[in-house]
Amino acid sequence: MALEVRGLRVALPDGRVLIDGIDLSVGEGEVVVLLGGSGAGKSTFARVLFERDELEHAGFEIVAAQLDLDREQLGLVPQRGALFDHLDVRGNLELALRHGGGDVAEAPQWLERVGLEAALAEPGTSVTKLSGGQAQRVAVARVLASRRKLLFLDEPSVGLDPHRVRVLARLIRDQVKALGISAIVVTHDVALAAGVADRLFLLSLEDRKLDQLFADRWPGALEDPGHTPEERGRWLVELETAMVDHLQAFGDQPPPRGAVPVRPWWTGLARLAAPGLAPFRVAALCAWKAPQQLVKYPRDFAIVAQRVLLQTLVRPLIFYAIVSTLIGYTVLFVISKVGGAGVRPDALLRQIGGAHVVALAPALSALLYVAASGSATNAWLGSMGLTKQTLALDALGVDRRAYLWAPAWLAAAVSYLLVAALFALGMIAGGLLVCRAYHVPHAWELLTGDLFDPRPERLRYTVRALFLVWIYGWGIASDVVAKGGAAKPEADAVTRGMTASVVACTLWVVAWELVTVVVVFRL
Amino acid sequence: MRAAAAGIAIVAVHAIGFVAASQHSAGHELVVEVTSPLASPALTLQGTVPAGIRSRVVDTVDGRGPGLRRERWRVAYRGGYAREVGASQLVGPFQDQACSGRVIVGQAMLDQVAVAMRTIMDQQMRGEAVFGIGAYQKIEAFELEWAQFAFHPLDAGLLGAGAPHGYVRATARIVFDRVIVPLTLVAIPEATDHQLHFCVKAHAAVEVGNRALQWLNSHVDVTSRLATRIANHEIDAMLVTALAPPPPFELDRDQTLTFTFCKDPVEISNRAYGALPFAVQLGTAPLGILPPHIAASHARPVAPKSLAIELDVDALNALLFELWRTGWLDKRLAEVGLDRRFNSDPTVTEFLTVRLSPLRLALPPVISPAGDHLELAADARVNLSDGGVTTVGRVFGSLQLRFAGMRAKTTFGALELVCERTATTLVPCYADLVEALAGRGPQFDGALTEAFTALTSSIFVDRSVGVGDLPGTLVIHGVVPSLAPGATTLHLDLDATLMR
Repeated sequence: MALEVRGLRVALPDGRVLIDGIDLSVGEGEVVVLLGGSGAGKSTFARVLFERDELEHAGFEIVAAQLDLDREQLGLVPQRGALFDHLDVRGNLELALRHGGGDVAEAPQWLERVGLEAALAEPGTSVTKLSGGQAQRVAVARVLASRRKLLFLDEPSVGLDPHRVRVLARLIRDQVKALGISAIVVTHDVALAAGVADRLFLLSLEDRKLDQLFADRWPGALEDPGHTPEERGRWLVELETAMVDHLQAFGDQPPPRGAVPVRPWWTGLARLAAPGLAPFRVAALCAWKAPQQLVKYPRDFAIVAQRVLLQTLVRPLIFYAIVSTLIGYTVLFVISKVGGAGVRPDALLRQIGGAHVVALAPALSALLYVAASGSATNAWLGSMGLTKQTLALDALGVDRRAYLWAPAWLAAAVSYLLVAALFALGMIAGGLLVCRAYHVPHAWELLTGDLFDPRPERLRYTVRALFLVWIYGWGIASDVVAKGGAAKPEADAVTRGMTASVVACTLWVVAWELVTVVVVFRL
Repeated sequence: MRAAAAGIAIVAVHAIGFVAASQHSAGHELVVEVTSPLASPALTLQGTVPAGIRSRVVDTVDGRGPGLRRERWRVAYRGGYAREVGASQLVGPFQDQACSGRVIVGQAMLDQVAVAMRTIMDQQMRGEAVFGIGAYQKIEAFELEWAQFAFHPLDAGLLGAGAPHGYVRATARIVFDRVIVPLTLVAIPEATDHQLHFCVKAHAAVEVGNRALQWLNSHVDVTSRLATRIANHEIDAMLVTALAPPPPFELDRDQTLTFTFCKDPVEISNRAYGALPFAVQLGTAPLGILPPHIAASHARPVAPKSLAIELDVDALNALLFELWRTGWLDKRLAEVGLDRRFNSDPTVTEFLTVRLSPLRLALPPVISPAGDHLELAADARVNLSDGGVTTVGRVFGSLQLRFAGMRAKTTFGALELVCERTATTLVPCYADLVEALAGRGPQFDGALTEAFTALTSSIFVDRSVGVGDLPGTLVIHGVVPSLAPGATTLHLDLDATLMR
């Protein structure tokens, strides 16, 4: 058996039961279709298979008398394909091949296998240029290339016209036969269901169980040879009628309320603390996994890191340059004026030297970095979760923490270090303008003295600044990855994650500013 | 959960690491251990700097000879900043009552003295009558001049053993009833241990038309009687008093600045001047401190209009030593109130936390020649109070004294401050503040010039000196300082008048 589930029960944290004791077995070479209305638990069933740990962390109660599943053999075609948009078409396939033990040179053949032109495998073919049907087929090709034995196709026909639905159905049937694999198709689409199903099941809104439809008379997948159009038409009508009748009767019935799961007090506490602890977890994981990923998959590492560097450093570069120069100029200009009449501005500038850069650059650059660059990466990671790309990664056997988080974490941290340096340089540039206005000699040496050759009493501040830049770098990166990589059940979760990250990172910066100031002045 | 715990552990390690790094990131502060004495016959300044910073330290000593020497240990940092520690040492050889000053009496002053002496002689001769030549009438054409034998070979008989350094020569005509007696008088300066006196000899040649009277005069030695009367010891006293060293200068109660004779010969230039050497009487200071003896060649005196005093750098340093030793300088510094001015400065009260105590000079200020000017250097102590903590600061300052035209010009030279962590451990302190103050130095030049002018005036100007038996008082109206070439001697041209 490819999958054996007995007595699976899933309840929401508030006790409502989404799935109540379903049994399902999927044999090798078999295609099983799960039909159901909205809220029937189709997606929840998929998440049980792919994200059980995350569901349980989220407070779901998942109980199963038996759940035999080889996770390593389970592949997923998410809704709308969930192609990795940081990779081109070929990159999507190569990633699956690399992690599935295949030869990356076979990418064009896998495209042809699903009826696409091999030319799409040309480097640089963006996944955003594909039509819905093409994207869906690329997604199928990608999961097939990963050599998974059990495919889970989640609403694969969403957005496809009837012709393409049938093409997709035939494709699924052909590949299942050709590769000797099994498939579970979750769909609303009766045409697709009828076209591919060896067996049909309905996730009942009445009792939240799994009911097999037409168990004793279903003729098998209607897209297989041997079925006439009339037969296909009759079954489509019958299947649709069964669906509509069920939805008319029970479509508005809320999930039954069961007993609220009783959990130890500390699990609630742990759940509350989880968002706060997530950045620390990410820091440790990424520090551990980044070197391994860099060694094992340098190309994957470079691709993700390059994307993050683009988001966090290259695109906002002009922003940092302008803001830092403006701040550097303004701070020194204000300082040059504090003496009032009779006080030589150049004497004040000599007194301050580059101290303002050492004191302000870490915090200001960090806060701006969080708001601009951190949010960009946060949004990118969040969108990957929202569009199920991360789920697709999991389904390819790609560890998202190693593939996505670790390079993103390291790149974001390194990017911040560069931004901090750029910010300091910008502040110095602004200071040079002020010094020039007051004819301060050797202004470059004056403004960089505290950075490159601080006087003994100022060395501690320079050390503090370097420490802050260091800890802000990986701290912000950890929080951005943690918040961006958290589950994104809806679009608003992405913006919530960005806001939460800005707040958390600001607290991180403020806390370290205060702690280090206390340490420096108390010692 | 384990990963989160590991993450928290990483943060904790960073926090601990930062505390540790902060404790070890004080940098290599410039600390100099100086155990050398404040004064030494030879330069023995030595300081030890920490090994971690030794390679960056530039060690300089400004000269090695006698004077107030300063060794500086300096570390330069990017941006034009520097940290410096300096230590001073008064380096010998030291003075021992050397002849370092000269009173120079010009011919004009001698002319004034001549008038007074003529009056005295006239009084002494009144009622004098000599057989054959009649009674004394008056003295005519009385003149005093600085003389050298080479210009007056006819004085050979009077000079006897000679006057290699010159002499005072007086000539007059003494009018009697029947004859006019030409008188020539020489006063040869002779110095003993602590005194100067003049050996006075006179020759009066009586010439009458009557041969019998001429014979008689030669036998009763009228000439000798006249010479003896005129060349009495009072003339010696008058000259000695007129050429005396400056009178004692009363510093404070029971404290005077005293000048004494010394054994160097009087220098006389024919019809120009007579220069009398003198020394500053030195008292005893603790720690064997004495003014340095800076070898300086004596230039020929500059002929004054009437009266001048020349002080070479040794004399100046001896003066400063005495003023320091007696505490006079500290009191004047306190009166000037640099500390009060600093502490009450609105900028200081508004922006600074450090406050100063009055300055105390740890060593006598020292003047030394510096090219075309003199440089005055001083090493003082001050208590620096800052936030309840009081630190002893060592202040080193220097002034440059230039003399042009009618007055001296004093300019700010240097200002340095180091702090005593212990009595022998010196560290830089308030470096930026001191640098800022030193940068304002030129603003004080005018005030410093005024202060120096006031100091010299208080010593010399409007001083009235009784001149022995002369019927008058020497009054000094003003002083014009100038510097001899080589800047080794300060020439004070005194505008002096002998008032009746």
